[in-house]
Amino acid sequence: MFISIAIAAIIFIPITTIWFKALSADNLVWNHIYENFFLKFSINTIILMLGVSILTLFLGLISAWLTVFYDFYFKKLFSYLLIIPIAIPPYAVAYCYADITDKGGVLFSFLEFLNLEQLQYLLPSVRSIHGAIFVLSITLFPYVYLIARFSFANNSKKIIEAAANLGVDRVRLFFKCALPLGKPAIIASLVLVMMETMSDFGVVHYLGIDSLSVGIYKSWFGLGDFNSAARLATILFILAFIVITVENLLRNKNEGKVFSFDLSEQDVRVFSEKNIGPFIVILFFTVIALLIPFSWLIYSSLSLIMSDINIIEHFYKASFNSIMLAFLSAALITIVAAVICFTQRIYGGSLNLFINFAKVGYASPGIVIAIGVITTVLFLDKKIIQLLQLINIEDVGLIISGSFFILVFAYLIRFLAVAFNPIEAAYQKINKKIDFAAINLGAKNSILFFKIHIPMLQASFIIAFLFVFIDILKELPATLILRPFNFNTLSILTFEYASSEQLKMAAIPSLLIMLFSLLPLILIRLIFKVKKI
Amino acid sequence: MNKDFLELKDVSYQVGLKNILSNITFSLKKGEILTIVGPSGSGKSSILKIIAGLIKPSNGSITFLKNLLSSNKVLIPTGERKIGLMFQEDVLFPHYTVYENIEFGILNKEKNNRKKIVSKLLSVFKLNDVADLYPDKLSGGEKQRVALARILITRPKILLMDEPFSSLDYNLGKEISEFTIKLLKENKISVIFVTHDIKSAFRVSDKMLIIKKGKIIQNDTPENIYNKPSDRFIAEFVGEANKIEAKINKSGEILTPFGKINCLDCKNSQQECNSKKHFILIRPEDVNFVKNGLKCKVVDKFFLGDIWEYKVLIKKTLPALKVRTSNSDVKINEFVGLSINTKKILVFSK
Repeated sequence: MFISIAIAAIIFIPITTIWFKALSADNLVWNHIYENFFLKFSINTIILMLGVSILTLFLGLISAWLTVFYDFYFKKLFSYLLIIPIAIPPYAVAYCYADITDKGGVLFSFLEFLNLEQLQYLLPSVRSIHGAIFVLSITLFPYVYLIARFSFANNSKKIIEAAANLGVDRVRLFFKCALPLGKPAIIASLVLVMMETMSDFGVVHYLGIDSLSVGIYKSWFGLGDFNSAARLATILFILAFIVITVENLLRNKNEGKVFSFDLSEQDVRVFSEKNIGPFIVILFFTVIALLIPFSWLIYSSLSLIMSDINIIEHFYKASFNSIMLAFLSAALITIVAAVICFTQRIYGGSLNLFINFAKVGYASPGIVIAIGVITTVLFLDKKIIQLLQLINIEDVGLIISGSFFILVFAYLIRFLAVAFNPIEAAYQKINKKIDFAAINLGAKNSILFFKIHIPMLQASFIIAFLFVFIDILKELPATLILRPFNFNTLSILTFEYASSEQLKMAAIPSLLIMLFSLLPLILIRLIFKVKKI
Repeated sequence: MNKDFLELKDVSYQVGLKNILSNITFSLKKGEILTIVGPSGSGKSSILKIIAGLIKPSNGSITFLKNLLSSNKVLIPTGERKIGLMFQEDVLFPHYTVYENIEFGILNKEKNNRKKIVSKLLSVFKLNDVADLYPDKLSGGEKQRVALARILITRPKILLMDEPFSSLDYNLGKEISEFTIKLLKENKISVIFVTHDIKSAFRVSDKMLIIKKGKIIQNDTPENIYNKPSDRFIAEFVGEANKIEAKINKSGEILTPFGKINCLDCKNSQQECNSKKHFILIRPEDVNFVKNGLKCKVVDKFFLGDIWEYKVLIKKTLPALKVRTSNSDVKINEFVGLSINTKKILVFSK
């Protein structure tokens, strides 16, 4: 119990530190930010959140509706292909579409080839807020797709079948049955999308959109005022907290599972004739969200590798660093989440408040957490140096800041909730009387945890681990700010190459991130299928 | 058999402001089988959990062989109490085989020794053939036998059973419960059963405890619970009964269609008795068809398998009376005579 409270406290300290830092921002710098940028940062962030919400809803709901209730060619294949964009880092999609739509890009060359130069000026630019909304939406809509799909197939299936049997037309079925019945699940998925949009740094930074997360970065590294960055971070945190609170108010708390990666049992087919319409729509979604970015990544990577095979060596170390960092951090985070879940189960109610503190990282974008962690750790470092000076040890430098530890700590805060959710859901499925039976047979807490819970929950532990692994592999802002000196990961290399407009070079690490994320995604799907989760 | 083995004294249990149990006091002797019966939510399972040490009572004490198990200050951990608990549903560990499930309770013993003990239990419970199977491959009856073997391996002095056979069909449940009771009696293990199945409670119990809204309302032998229930709720809860409102005359006698009887509840205070409504309860099996009895008309007839149930009308102002008898010859609309031993009529006032 003590361990769980301690973990919750450790996680909560960096968040509260930001609030205190925010109070002491430099007036001169803050006034400059407030008068010239603040409104723009806030409006852009809100426009992004609303725009991405609307477009992901459109893409996600239509995909779920068509793949659950209609029959069309290659339906099963498309159902799985639509999940894969989760594995592509959003910033890689931004580079792809920028490269295609920029002057001199593929589209321009194509129009030139067709002697239609006069149409080049009509091409939309992805380097705009609309472009950012488009890029974020096509990478985030699989969250809405997965959750809505599960809701349509499991919760609304019978009602929709009955309504269809009564002769209700398809448009009405969608708006009057599927949507209202799926509302809680859809809200949950939208919140996820909003949080991801708020915390995105890679896409907006590259496309030149001044959102709050970019503002935090600019205040700190451009204007040199850390406290103003903390103040903007606090505003972003408040925004995230409002979103979570609204979701809590709207969502049905008794709802259990909200999605599954095993789509094979979610095939309802109310409209059983083979349709060309759904096929074209789903094909179009798959092309823009997966095939174009994936082909671009492959083409750009291969064209560079073919011209110089040695180029791949640049990425060995970063690949190793990324996998090692994601593996170790995901393992640690899963263990911490498991311990907290176990303590919550054994000691119950009184711990819930602490556990909600521990989950607060989910409501905090990576860049906010980076600021909180660095503030806390710098404070700790100063205290350690003072302590060492008391015993005449001088010139030790900063001990914790800039170490590997600080990064893992930030990931722990950011992704604890990601690991916590599948484990908590699996725990709720285990009859509490199993625990009573084991304790009654003389089992101590350690036996209960290691011999009963861990074997019973191993699938959810692995799922939690894999989700966190994928998230860390793609994570950019916290890694960028907190990485140890000279420590590169694939996401950092992607960012650095893209920042210097070497988009083809950026494609290689992006592709590697995608490939390294695909394997866990396939594993998760297998676990869902085998364990019938 | 005479010595008090387990004793609960004024045990109460509160969750928030709600009283789940209030002043529960009873004792159990060695080898005795006690059944706790009551409606859903009356606190039956909470009593078992408190005795097992899975929850701590808010007040009161529990002693076992004169050792204090629970009080305001003391709480002996459940695993050290030598009190086994068996649940209604299947709570076998799904990731362990039958053998490993049974072995779980003696993991602290040496491996060879464990093997011997488990093998013996496997053969007693006729589980040798399924020893290597996982619980999801077992039938309902096998699962219950494994659960019982898993508890008994810890050699409990008392076994607490929370509706252990309710998930099985009637015949299987009966067979397993008979096997279990025989085994427990042979080993002189005291048992506290929780059940809502009155028939099985009567069949196996030495003593019964009727509980309602967290309070004990009668603690007696099965015969007394059935024949001398302490209130109307118990009378109706433990068996079907015909309920008839009755009048009382000036000398305090209850006037029933079958004659005058005394009100057992209030014969000492006639004034009080006169101001109350009275009911008589008659069990359908206590009424017989006779030639010269109280005249009545048969209005309905049902076959219940081993017995016939008739509905008869004595007067239009009285509700139809249920009669259960093996006599199948009586026809609907036929007039027959009724008789009853008035000593069997239960009288309650309200």
